[in-house]
Amino acid sequence: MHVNLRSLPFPVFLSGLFLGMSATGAHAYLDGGTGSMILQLLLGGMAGLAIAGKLYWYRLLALLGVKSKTDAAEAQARNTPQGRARVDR
Amino acid sequence: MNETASPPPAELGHHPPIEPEPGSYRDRNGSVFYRDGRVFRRLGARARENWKLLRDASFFGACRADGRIVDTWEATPSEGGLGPGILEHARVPFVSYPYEWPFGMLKDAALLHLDLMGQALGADMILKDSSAYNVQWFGARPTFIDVASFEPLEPGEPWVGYRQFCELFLYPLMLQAYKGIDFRPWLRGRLDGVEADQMRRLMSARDLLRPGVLLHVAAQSALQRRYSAGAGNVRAKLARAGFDKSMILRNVDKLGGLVARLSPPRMRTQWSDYDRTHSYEEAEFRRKVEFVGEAARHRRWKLAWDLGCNTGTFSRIVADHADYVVAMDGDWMAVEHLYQQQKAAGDPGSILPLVVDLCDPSPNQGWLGTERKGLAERGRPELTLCLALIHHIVISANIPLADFVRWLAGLGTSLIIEFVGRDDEMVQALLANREDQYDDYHPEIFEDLLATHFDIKDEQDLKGGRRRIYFATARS
Repeated sequence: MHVNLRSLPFPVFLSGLFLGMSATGAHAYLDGGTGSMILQLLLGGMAGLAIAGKLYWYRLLALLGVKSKTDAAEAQARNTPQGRARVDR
Repeated sequence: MNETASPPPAELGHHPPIEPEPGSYRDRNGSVFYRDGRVFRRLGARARENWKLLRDASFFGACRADGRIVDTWEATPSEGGLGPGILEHARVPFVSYPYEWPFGMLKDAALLHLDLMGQALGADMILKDSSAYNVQWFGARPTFIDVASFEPLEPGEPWVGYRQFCELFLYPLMLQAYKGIDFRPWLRGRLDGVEADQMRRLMSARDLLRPGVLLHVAAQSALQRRYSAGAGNVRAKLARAGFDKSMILRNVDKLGGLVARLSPPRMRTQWSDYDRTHSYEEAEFRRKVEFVGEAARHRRWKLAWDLGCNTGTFSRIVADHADYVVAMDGDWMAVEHLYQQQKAAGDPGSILPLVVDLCDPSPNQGWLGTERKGLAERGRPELTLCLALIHHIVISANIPLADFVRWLAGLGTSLIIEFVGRDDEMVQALLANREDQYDDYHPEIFEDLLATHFDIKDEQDLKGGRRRIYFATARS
C-alpha cells in the first residue's frame, strides 16, 4: 500500500520546525541543497537538535512580535553566488 | 608527502598532445588531462593550496600507501609549458561507472567515501563533493581518484556533498536493499543519481520504518521542497547558530553503519544457485578449461575481456596471462558473486567485475555525449572470451550472427569463442518457446564468418560435438 507522505505528520512537523530558518520565502534563486543542509542539524545528534530548537525559538519570538525579522534583509545581502553550495565533481 | 614512496618526478619536457578528460569539466580548479598515456591534473591557485594541506596530512600518506586514494605525485614542469601545479596520478586500468557495478561494489565505494570523509574531518578537511564517479577500481579494490575534492573545512560549514552522497550512493543502495529494484538503470538514466523527491515517491508507508528512510529520504525530500525557493544564506546561518564538525562526523558515522547493514534480499536466498553454473560433465569441463588455458598462454595480454563471465571461472584462468581482465555479465548476481569471491581472496587487482548487458552496453552519454564513455572507448581488449555466450546473443537477443562476429573483429581482439550447437540442451531450451527464425545459426556459417575475420589457430569439439571451441587471433 502506498501512502502519500505529504499526508504524514512527520515531514509537516519538520517543515514547521524549520520555518525559523527562513525569514522570507521571497528569494528567487534556486538552491536545491538548502533543505539537505538544514537536515544535517537533525542528523547531527543532540548538539544539532539543540541548535534546531534555538532557531525554532527565534522563529517563535518573531511570530509573537518580540523579535523583528531583520534576518530577511541580512539574508538578502548575503545572497551572493559565493554563498551557494558548490557541488563539483 | 613521502617522496621516497613516490615514483620519480614526471618529466613533461617533450610535447605529445594534451587530451582533456571530458568528464572532468565541473571542477575548474582541478581538471584532468592525458598526455602520452599518462594521467595529469592541473591545479588552480586555490586547489594548489588545498593540495599542500592534503599532501602534509598524515591520513593522506596512509590512504595513498594502502590504495584507498589513488597514487598521486607532483609532476615537474619543464619546457612542456604546462606551468606549475600539475599532479600525476597512477592510471586506473579500466574506467568503470556506478551503473555497471554490482551492489557490493557500490556499497564498498560508499563505505570508502565515508571512511575518507571521517579521515579528512579528523584533519580539519572535508570532501567537497560525493560523486560515486570519483571511486574507481584496481580489480576488486576501490580507490578514490579525485584528490582535488579534499579542501579545508571552514568553521561552521555543513557537509555540502551530503545530498550528492544520498543521490549517488545511499538511495541506489536502498532501492536494491529495500525494494529489490535494480539501481543500475536509474543511475544510467540520470548521471546525477536518484533525487530525494523521486526516492520518497518510491517508498511505501512500511518503508518509512526501515533504517534511514524517515530522515534521509522523507525529511530530506520535505525540506528540499520547503526550501526550493531558497532560505537566505543557510550556510552562514548554520555557522552562526553553532553548527560544527562534530555534527558532520556523527552523520558520517551513522551513515557508515546504515550502509554497512544494507544487503539485497534476493542475495541471501538464491546464492547457492551459483555454486554450479555450467552444463558440463566434469571431464568435459576440464577439457574446456585446458583449451582456454592453452590459448591464453599464447602470449601476454594487456587487457582481456570475458564476455558472459558468469562467476568468473575463466576470468581467473586468463588473469594468469593478462595484465587486467574485465569480466562482464548481464546477471548482476553472478557478477556480485565474482566480486565477493575476488574480494575475499584478496584480489591483487587483476579482475574487474562489471554488470554489462552486451546487447545494450553502456553508451556515450552526459554533457556533449562524452562525459561518460561507451564500453569499447575505455580500452580495447587484446583477448576476448565468449564462452557459452553466442546462443544468448543470436537466439535470446535476436542479434544476427554476422553482426556479432563483425563487432568482435572491429575490436581488433583475439578470440576464444565457443559455438553452442542446435542439439545442445541449452539451445533447445531457448528455442522451445519461440519461432526458429535463426537461419544463420549453424556451425558452418559461424566457422565461415570466423575464418573471414580472424585467423583460426586452434579448435576442439566439446560435449560430444554439440559444442565447438575456437582460438582465433586478430587479423592485422
